[in-house]
Amino acid sequence: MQEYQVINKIKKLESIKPDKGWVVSTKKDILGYELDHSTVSTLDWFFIALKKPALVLSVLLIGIIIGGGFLFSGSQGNQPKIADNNDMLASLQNLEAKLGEISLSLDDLENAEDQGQALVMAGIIKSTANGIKQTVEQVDPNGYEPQVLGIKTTSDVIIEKLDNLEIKNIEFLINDYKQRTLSEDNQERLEKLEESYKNGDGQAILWIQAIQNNINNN
Amino acid sequence: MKNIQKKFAYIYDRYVKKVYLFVYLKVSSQEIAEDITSRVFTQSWNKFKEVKQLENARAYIYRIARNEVVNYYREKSKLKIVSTESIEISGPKPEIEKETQAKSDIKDIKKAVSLLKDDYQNVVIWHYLDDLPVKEIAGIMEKPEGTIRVMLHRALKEVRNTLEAENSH
Repeated sequence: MQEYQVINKIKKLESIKPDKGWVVSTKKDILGYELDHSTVSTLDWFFIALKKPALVLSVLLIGIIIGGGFLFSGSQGNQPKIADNNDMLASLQNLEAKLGEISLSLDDLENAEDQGQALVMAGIIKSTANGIKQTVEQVDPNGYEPQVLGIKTTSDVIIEKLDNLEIKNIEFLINDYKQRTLSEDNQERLEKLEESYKNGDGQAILWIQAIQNNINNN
Repeated sequence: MKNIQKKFAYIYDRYVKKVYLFVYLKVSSQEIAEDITSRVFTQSWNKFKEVKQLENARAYIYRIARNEVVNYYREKSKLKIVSTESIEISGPKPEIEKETQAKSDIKDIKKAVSLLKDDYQNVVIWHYLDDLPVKEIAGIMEKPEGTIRVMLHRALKEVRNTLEAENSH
């Protein structure tokens, strides 16, 4: 048996993972904030789907947010209108739990085989987390302080994690492309990718997608 | 949630699965691994509240995890973890193992890693399962980098020998 074969076997031990319910409840015990772990397993599909096309993932993510029961029924000016107080509390608790679960599952995104797709997903999740945070900021927190605070904080944690993931993956992919023999078109895209990344204009992921699509199609 | 809780929540999310795996591979029991991992993060949180920041959170948490595992075996008078002799996997069968039993190679590799002496287990888990660079492992174990590389080499050799012996039966 070769050394790399032994290493590959050892890496299979990564499949041993703690119970997600335990992970969430222990975090709650230690840090003392609420997470409803009754919904913990619902997001497994989301991360299993990381090997599927980005479109499917986007639909899943939207489904998670809608399925989370965030029951704003409309808005008056900047103040969202809520169906009723009980619905509001249940929705906030549900959303907080789902965000907590996303946060815990981001390791899976970090370990995704397709780093380009992980980047796309990171962008979608990040903008969703941003959107949720902004929406919750419009809610009168009176009576829902722990939930509102929990949602805002978890959103921040998710955004921070995804920022780090983006940096790591973009740098990895730039180095990876540099070591490949690229077509002339892709070489130009790589230069633009590096420029975008340096300027922080948010276009880097699009250039990665363009390069990736071109590589996959040839 | 206060800012400090938010920071620690990030650390928790980032390392809880890795620490659990590290502990689980040493104690071979889901229940005990959960208990020890929980204590590791409680201690880390208490420290974090005190100092507000951990210079190298991962190294700090792993040090606590190592100590907790040693304490566990000390309390149980099971000094197998520091023994260089062969170790048999013992304790109740965890739920998680039910899932992995179907994959016999995972069971075999788990056993092979469990048979390594404690320091060898540590370097294998950290380097191959947690992707810690040799330099960082050397820092945690307070040993020269060259020593860590030798340990990794010897550990892999032992794992390979165990797997080949299993396969030849």
